[in-house]
Amino acid sequence: MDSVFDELYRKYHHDVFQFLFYMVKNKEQAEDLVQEVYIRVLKSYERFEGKSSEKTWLFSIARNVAIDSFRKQKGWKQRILEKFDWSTSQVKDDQPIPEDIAVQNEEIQQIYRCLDQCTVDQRLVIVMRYIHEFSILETAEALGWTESKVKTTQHRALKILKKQMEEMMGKEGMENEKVRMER
Amino acid sequence: MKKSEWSDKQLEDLLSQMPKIKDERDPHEIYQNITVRMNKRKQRVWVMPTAAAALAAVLFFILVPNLFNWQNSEEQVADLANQSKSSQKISMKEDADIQEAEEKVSIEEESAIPFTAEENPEEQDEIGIRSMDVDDSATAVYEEDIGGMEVLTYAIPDENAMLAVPVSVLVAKREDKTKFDLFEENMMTLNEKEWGLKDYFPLKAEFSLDEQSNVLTVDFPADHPYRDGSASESVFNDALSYTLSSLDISEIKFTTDGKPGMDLGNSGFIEEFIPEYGNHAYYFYYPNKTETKPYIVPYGEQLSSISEAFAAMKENQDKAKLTASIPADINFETEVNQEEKKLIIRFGEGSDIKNDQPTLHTIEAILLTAKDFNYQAVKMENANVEMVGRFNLDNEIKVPVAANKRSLP
Repeated sequence: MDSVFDELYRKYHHDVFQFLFYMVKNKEQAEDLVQEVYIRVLKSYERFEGKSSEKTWLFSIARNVAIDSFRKQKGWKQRILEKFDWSTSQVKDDQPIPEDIAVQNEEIQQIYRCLDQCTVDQRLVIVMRYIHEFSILETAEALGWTESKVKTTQHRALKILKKQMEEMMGKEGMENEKVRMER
Repeated sequence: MKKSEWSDKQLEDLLSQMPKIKDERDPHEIYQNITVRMNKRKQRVWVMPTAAAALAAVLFFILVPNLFNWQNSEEQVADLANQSKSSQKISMKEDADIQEAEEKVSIEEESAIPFTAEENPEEQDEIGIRSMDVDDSATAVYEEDIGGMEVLTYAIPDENAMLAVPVSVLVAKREDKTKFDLFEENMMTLNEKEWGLKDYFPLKAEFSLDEQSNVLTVDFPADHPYRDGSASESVFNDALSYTLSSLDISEIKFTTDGKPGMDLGNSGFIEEFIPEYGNHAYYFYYPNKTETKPYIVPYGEQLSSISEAFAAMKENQDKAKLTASIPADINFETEVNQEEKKLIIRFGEGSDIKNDQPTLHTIEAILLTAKDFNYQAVKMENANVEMVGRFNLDNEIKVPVAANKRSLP
């Protein structure tokens, strides 16, 4: 086995896989995409200059792979329809919740669903910052953004999640004892 | 009111509680998938440029010939411009060509320049190609063409076995072989079919030449094919005569399976054959209608004088599908210089001698006939052009060495 692959696998495989999973929300697809990440990495490994950390470099590739897969998923038909479709925001989540999530508590399931309501950029930031616990700087490096862009995107994403969570809880008539807390 | 409100912190905590998701596959399996996909991709990467290259090559082959045509026509335009001093000549060429086009003697155009005629109808282009044709469309073998080669003449019947067409090939001389050896050897290699003639050689017979007496013995097998029908018999006589005339053979003895004599159908049983050559009129023979160059073929009875022959050459010989070799609008007187074996031809009023292919072939027919009547040179006077193809009419023209040059494979 290739030594580069071996090393990357040991260090980052599960992180990258998990990142891709939360982006595409489908295990099989994540399995495919993680392979694609390796292919791109192995092809361009010599070009890795060590300007950024190995980890952020790898995640930047994973992010490109994820975005490419979204583009591929949407056929040209959908892309045209989207132009005229004003209800795109109501992206429906027709995928069943994966087992790993289904065994979790209600709130986790809720927030998992709410992720759909974020844009791709917002979701990238949420997944990197909170699930993978990247710093602002690392996130900025992996996404190739400025730190302030990361911050504003993160702010907007949280706002959307909050709103969605509240709506969902309300809709389902869940009793929630939580009182308002300071931000 | 119990409206739940979420703080950033709560959300962050919740998100960090999201379950860890693991890829349960074996790393080896993943690695294998990757290598397979990488190789596949390599193939794909390789396929597209190859397809593109192939397409480019095809386009190249389609476009390049056209390109050359354009270049040619440009060059010729330039050439014509350069030659403006001798513009008289050019305009004569042009006249000739235009007239030809009007007469729709299109046989020549169709086969000589199959697609340029369609694609570049510009006259410039055609003039260029056509006048080039005139230059090298002579059919016979001339002394200056031989260049140390041996000339072999074979008389080959046409497809209908109505006449024998003498065809001459040039072969390299060999010190250890006589002309007769070469003749026998090359009999095998003739391309009669390709030349539009009957597949005739090698003859189904054994040849042996007595070099002292120049007597050739031809031994036929008992079942030889030369006796069926009078047409093939007479053509057999002609073929033998013309073929052997070039070998200086005075007498032929026939044997069948070693026994003297040979059964030649209507002519009966023949033991000896004295070739009749000389004193024939020459006509044009087009084996198929698309041919541009005619064969120039001797035909008919032996004639007593060359003027008789020239008169005959103005008539088509329909029986043998031969075309007159002297057009009706060319008239001339002949004057004979017997001592020097020279013939003088004086064109009459109104004989329009053009520098074009038909006229060139007419001159060749005249030369070949003169040769058949044993003249060595012909001087043409009173022509209104100086050059016809390769011939300079200001000078005496030597008669050809042999008729109808073809090349061996």
